Amino acid sequence: MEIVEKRENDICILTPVGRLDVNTSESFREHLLQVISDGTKNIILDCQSLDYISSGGLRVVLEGAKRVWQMEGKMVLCSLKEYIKEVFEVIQFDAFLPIAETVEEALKKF
Amino acid sequence: MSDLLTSAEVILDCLSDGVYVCDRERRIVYWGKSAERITGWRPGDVVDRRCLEDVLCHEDKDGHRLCGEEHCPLHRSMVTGATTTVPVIVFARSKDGRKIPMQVTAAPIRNESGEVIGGVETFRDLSLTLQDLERAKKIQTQTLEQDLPADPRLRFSTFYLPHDIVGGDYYAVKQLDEDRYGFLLADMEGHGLAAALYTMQLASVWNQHFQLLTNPAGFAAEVNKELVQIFGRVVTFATAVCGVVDARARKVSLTGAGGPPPLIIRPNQAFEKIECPGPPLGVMEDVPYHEQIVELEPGDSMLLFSDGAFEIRNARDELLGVDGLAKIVRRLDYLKNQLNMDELQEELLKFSNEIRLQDDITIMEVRYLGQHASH
Repeated sequence: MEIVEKRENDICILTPVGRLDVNTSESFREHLLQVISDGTKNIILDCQSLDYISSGGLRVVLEGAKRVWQMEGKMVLCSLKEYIKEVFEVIQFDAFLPIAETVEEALKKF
Repeated sequence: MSDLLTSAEVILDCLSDGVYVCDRERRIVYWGKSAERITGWRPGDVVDRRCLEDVLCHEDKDGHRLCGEEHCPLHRSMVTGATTTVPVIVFARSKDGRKIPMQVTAAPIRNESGEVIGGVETFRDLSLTLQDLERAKKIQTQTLEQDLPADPRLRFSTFYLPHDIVGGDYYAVKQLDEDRYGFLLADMEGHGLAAALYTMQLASVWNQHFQLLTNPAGFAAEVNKELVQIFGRVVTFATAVCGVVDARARKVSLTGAGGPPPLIIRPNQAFEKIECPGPPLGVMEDVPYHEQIVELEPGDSMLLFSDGAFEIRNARDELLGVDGLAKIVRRLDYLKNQLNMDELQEELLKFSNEIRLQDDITIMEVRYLGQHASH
């Protein structure tokens, strides 16, 4: 899975491209956990290019979030397509993971 | 070349997995020794017969026949030209009529120009593994099959159908005092064995805390706290709806924890989704839970369900959804009769166009019959 990585001070902005499903969630997981174990505790998941997320994909996002919380960091999601936003809202993940409209707004949440 | 590699058939016959080969019409052209060992069928019994005829009679765990077109793994693999990626568990009939559980994989066989000319199926005897899972199922069923409370003013009913042999849904109902009954329907993320093991934890947390259900939001907060501890570093969670029904005060209080909105169905067939948002259980401590109160009139019925009951897609990839489920329930003329769960399952299958549903399904009904039914 293609994942674009950018930095804004101590915040890492990850942009997964395409579908986060059974075929791609392992490579996304490795990338995400690597960023965290390299010492990043503040992460923005920019979902503008994310077309689909499976329940396995949700678990990976949650795993990343749990790791950064342990380091007293934060994970913020932004630019979710309507369908993906519904997935997060239906399962009420937005109670743990703040969702912003844009990257700029997400940056303000740190 | 070494002598060892001279005959593929000799090698195939040494495998412990059963192997057979079919041509494009699914006529069996090769039947290995190991296939004979597992099933009792000898090559003379089956070679030249079509495998979909009365030979193996593949069925899934719920007894659905798989030997037609779309559900036969071998047929699928020849049509799509792809090897099965996830082994399929089927039950096959042995020569002496026993049902043997087996794990099946299928692959197409191509000629030199790449055209599919047949298929090979391998199968592994799962009898021992299945015996173990059946015991696990018994233990799980015992945990779920508690006696439902009997109160002339209320009626409780439940339906549970795991996707695998064991499932990741959990439900319970208990009397709290003379008029009040607490209930919970929870769904562990995922399904299968891991989810099933966690339902045993849910059962123990339930037994410890169900008395707190006089205040459902407080109960959810306590269960959440416990589950955060239990899950620890494991990344998983449960979605749930819990609540308390008060037969004297004619109301139900609901707390959601990421579970689907319950449906209230009125005697005039109108239905209402009760949105009760709240975060899933076991992710983070100290998250807020809220309570929704619904007044009940005699004849009103409340349905709680796991998402497997409505996250079903049809052939056009359209989602059934809670509204679709409500319409099916209404069509079944549910209020006149007790909800017939077999009929409901049949309707859901019809919608999905699949031979079996893709997730665990649990449905719980709480119906308020009225005070006159009291002693």
